[in-house]
Amino acid sequence: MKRLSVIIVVVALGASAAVLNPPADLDPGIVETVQVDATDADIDPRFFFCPWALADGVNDTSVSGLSRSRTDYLISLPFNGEMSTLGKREIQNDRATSIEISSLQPVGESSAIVEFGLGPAGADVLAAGNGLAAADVCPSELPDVWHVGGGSTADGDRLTLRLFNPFLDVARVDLTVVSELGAEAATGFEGVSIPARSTKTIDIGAVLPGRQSLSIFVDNVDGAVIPALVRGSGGDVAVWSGVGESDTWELPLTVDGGLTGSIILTNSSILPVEFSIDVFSTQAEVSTPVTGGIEGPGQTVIPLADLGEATYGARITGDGPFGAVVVGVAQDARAAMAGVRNPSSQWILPGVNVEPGAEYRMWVLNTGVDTVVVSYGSSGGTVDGQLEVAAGAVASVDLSDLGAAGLIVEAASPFSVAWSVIDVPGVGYVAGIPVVGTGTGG
Amino acid sequence: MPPDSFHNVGFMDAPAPPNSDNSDASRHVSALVVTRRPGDVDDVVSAIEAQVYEAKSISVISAANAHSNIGPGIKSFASVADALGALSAKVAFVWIVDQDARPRPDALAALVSTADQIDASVVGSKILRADAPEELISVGEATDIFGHPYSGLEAGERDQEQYDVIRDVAYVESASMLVRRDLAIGLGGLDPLVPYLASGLDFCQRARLAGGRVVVAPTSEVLYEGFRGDRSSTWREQAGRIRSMLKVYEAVTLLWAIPTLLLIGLVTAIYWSFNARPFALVDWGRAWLWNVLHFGSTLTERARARRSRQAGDAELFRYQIRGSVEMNGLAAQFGSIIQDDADDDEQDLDQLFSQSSAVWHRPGLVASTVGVAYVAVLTRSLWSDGMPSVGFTLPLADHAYDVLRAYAGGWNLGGLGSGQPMPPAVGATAIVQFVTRSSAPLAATAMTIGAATLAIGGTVRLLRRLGIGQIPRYAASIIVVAGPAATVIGSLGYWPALLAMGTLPWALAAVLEPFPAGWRSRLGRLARIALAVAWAAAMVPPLVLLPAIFGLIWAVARRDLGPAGRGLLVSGLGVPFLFPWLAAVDLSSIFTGGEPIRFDMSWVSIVGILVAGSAVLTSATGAALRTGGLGAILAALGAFAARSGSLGSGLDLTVAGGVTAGIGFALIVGAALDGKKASENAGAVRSSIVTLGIVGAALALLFTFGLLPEGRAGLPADDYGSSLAFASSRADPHGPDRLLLVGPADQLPGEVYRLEDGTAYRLVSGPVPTFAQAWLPEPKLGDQALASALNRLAEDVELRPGESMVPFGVRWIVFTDPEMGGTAGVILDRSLRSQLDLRPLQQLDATVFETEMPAPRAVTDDGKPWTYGLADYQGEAQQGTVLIKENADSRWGPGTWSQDQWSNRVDASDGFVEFGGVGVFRLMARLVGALLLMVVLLALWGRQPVERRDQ
Repeated sequence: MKRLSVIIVVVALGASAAVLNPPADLDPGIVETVQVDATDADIDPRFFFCPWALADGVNDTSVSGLSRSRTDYLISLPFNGEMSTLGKREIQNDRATSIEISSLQPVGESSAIVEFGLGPAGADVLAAGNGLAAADVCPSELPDVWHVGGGSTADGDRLTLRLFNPFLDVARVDLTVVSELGAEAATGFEGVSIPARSTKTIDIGAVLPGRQSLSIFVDNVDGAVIPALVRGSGGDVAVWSGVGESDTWELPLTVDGGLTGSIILTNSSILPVEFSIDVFSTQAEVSTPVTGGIEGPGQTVIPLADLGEATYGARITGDGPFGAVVVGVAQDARAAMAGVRNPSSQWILPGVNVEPGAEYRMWVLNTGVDTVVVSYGSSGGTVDGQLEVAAGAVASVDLSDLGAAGLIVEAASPFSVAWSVIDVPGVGYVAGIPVVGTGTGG
Repeated sequence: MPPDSFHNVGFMDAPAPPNSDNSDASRHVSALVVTRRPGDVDDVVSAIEAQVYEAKSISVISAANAHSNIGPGIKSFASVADALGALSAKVAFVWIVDQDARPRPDALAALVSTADQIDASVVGSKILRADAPEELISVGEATDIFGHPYSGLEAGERDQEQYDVIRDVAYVESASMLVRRDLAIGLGGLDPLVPYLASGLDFCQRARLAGGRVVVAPTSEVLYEGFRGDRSSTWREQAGRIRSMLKVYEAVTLLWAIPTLLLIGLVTAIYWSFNARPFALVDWGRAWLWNVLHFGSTLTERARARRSRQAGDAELFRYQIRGSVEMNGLAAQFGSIIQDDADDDEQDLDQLFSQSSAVWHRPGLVASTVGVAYVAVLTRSLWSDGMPSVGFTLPLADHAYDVLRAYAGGWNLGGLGSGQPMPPAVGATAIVQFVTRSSAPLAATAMTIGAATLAIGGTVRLLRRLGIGQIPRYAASIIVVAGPAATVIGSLGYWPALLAMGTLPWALAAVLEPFPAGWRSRLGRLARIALAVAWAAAMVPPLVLLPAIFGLIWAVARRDLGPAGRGLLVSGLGVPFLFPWLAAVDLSSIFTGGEPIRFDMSWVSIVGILVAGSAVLTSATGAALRTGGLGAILAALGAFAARSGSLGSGLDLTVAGGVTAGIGFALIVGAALDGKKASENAGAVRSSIVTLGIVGAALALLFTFGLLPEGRAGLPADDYGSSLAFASSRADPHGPDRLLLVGPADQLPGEVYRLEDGTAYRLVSGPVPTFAQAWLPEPKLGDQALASALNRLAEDVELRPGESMVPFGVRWIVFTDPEMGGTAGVILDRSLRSQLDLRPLQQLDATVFETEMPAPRAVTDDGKPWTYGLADYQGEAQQGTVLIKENADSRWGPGTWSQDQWSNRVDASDGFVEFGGVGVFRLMARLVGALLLMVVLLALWGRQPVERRDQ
């Protein structure tokens, strides 16, 4: 009996122990953790990376910033692994400021980190004067794959790719270059190493000359870089940073300064992406959508002339993620700008009017179903002007008379914004910077 | 007839003298009574006068009473030499009799008879205890080369005439020795400077070198008064033996024998100093000092001995045993500590060894030696490479005193600190390190190996108390240190559990043992039990309850309340030693606090035990069944507790369960191996099942060899020792700052905190985490701030993470395994690769980022760092304040204190800042320290010396 009792107790306890589950594994394995996509993470909007700035004795670049908070505005120029120069000043809320790059680094091209103590904020670079008008928004995101479409090495165009690594770890990227010939098989595009706090410049024209249209995908293998294409002809250059992928893009600005424009759509994946383009004009009429496909990986170039004579804005939607860039070309002028992903009810346009000799124009695209009244101001929340944009229309306004560097643009409903700068013959296109956390729409 | 031409004239079994009236035809014998202390000699003189073989004269050697008449016809001399010079030429033999000797009436006759019979020069008597005449003291003795006597007798061995044969011996005791007169005169008699035992040895050795024959005549019986078991250990006897060596050995022998004796004496003296002879080391020193002081007379005596020398040292070696009697005794003592193997019912191992020397006489010692050898192999890498640094196996801090100070109501060293007391394991290990004055690595290694050795010994003792045979219990004891439970716990790097295993079986064995008679022994036993259970409980606190549970189970099984009471007592003895930690923790957190271990044993590892347990429970009988049943219950109960993490059990409880299961496994295996003995008359089926159980147990034992190849006692390979070494080399002059480790919990040192998504991280003080940091206190403001900062890093992709870590004194962020750190861990790693102020360090085992800006854990208003040293900070005294990046606590001082967010700001004018301590915890710790000291002293005082069998 005693033996049986012991057996029963032991079997009961032992069986209970056997069927008990171990404590929940709080350390998920790699299968679970690789699901994390850093692209989805919000980058701290206090930091902006400007892959290109120029100060060559003739031309200079203004690095402009605008914050909605009173805060510090800091510019660093990483070079050869070090933070070579610092520029720092305090800015008031809703006011812009700019620092001439020549005051920090007198000669040559450089890349810059713009840092705000508090956001929301944004930063642009603008080089204007002497027939040059080049401007670009400084990205704050760090996607895994960058799309940098819209390049060309034909007709005497100079095309360089800048890979800016502002971080403290060596970055390694794979480059995929596509052109009208398809995927380019040039060597040296895989495992490109960019030392910490430095910028690598690749002369695409020297490697792949004579390409009418050329797009590049930059895949961050280790670390991260911010890429930008610099396309020049004559005295003007166009500079535009890469963008991440999106299923929807808006182009508030497609043509200005008499340039001939094209929209370049890029697809870095293997599967093709079908797209549809809604074209907007100032008459608030939406034309019949244009559809097409982007081979994967590949690009599709859509001349604006094919979309309609009065095309001033466009919205492209796809059945998969892709990139979108608008490029304008004239005899002595080049301009390019990546699209904006989503409309927003607040936008920041640093750099507007920073060079007094140039012309500035703001472009507003309203893809919504209601008219929006857009207010814009350049000084501490004051409204300098308003612009009514009908549903499905593009409207523009000349900003040259405002006299302040930077604008805050806001409305009750979401819309998208870009601006152009013209310093004849130079032309520059710049997308607006949406304020994170404000209302957005589709 | 010349006096040295004795012939056999009698027969040994009939000691009656050839002429009982001692006529002129018989040998004349003169008796010399040697006195060594004041006192009368009437008894010994009476005994001499009562001899049937009459001594022609009786002389008393006494410096105090020289030349005085002690009694009618009894002369007194100051020395043996004087007495010998006064002897008549007719005297053939001198009978040297000690003051405390009481010869039986026929003792002298037997001596004379034997001397005549075999032409011996020195004949000794059989010595018996006067207070217990049936007990033998000596029947002639051997020695080792160092002169240490070896009688070959068991303690208290009865005289059954088992040694009654005339034989040559190394020496006979001077209680009663018959010596040829010419030899006695030639050698100058006994050396007056050496004590009783050494004098006999000294004289006999000189006699042998002079060509004489030394024999014992067991038919000559002498009772001896005042026998003491430790008489050969007095400093005078040690000194006498050394003097004797110096007198008799040739120079070449002395050249190696004296240094060896010096060393052996030192080792044994150190050992005995802690075991019943607290002045052993003093005695050792006095013995050598005495010889230095008497070196001149020793040389004179040596020269005298050389003049009569007829033989070389080899003649002495013939009657000596190999090795060192003292070392053998030490080994025997060690064996007796490991297990009291005086089994009356166990002779199995005895049969394996022939009677040769003392060491191999003791099967328990042999098995112990095998056990020690097993432990040596099991831990060989720890000896050579030191302890790995992994999990809770962390290096001890260099300065044990500082840790003790922190433990005793000081600053908790875990994470960002706290006034909460550290767990008792920290204090216990620091005490051992402090008392042994050893380096941190040596102390940790020695504790580990010692615990493994003790665990084996304790399990042997436990199984013996349960009635398990000798071979089964020795074999099964291995299971505790290398069985499936130990393997799992070891693989988790939970070092405290391995240490707890060392004394836990002893505590459990105490539950089964009745208390000894006598208050001294009883107190000593209680003290030792308290130490055993306190150590185990300090390492794994819930184990303090195990003796009570164990006793309860055994009480139910035996229907005897005794074990239950003893179990409660044993458990209770361990509780006080858990303070002050126990006073500060929520009692439920003892069982639910901390992350539970994953006690996943592979089926392969326990299949043998399952088979053995099933066989024992179904077919064993007697002790095997009781032991197996107890083991099965413990194993099942322990496994249940160990795997109950999902039910809410915490770290300590699951570890305690694992340890308990390990003890249970050992009991099962021991019972299975012993099952055959009780089933000899069982039927075929039951016998087959028992055999199957033995096979299962053998399988379980086979499994234990799996831990041997790595030689780390089951502990994993080093994780941090080498991977964090960079912190030392890259430290700023003020010393290493903190490190933030992120990765899977089982790759982080000690306890961990977790981010909201479960990512484990751990803040440690550089350069490497120490054992005192293994446990984390309850999180406070600083810990919450750090968690917020890390969450921001993980969620918002902070581009200046270094800037956010500097306020916490974090200089380095280390990813132990970037691929396995949880969702936030992956984001952290990826984001840290895209940031602006953390410099990645290359060529390291782990992924390491270093802040660009300094991150001292204490900094003054003007940015000067202060140096950290185990909860104290020092720096240049100056006006203003110093920011101490520890959790805010108003007891930081001595200057004015204020809270700065979550940290402390203290007046810097003193040049140092320290934690003032928590008074009540400090008092508790001091009381526990005093209690510990008292218990240790009681344990030593109450330990009955094991009577040495060579005496």
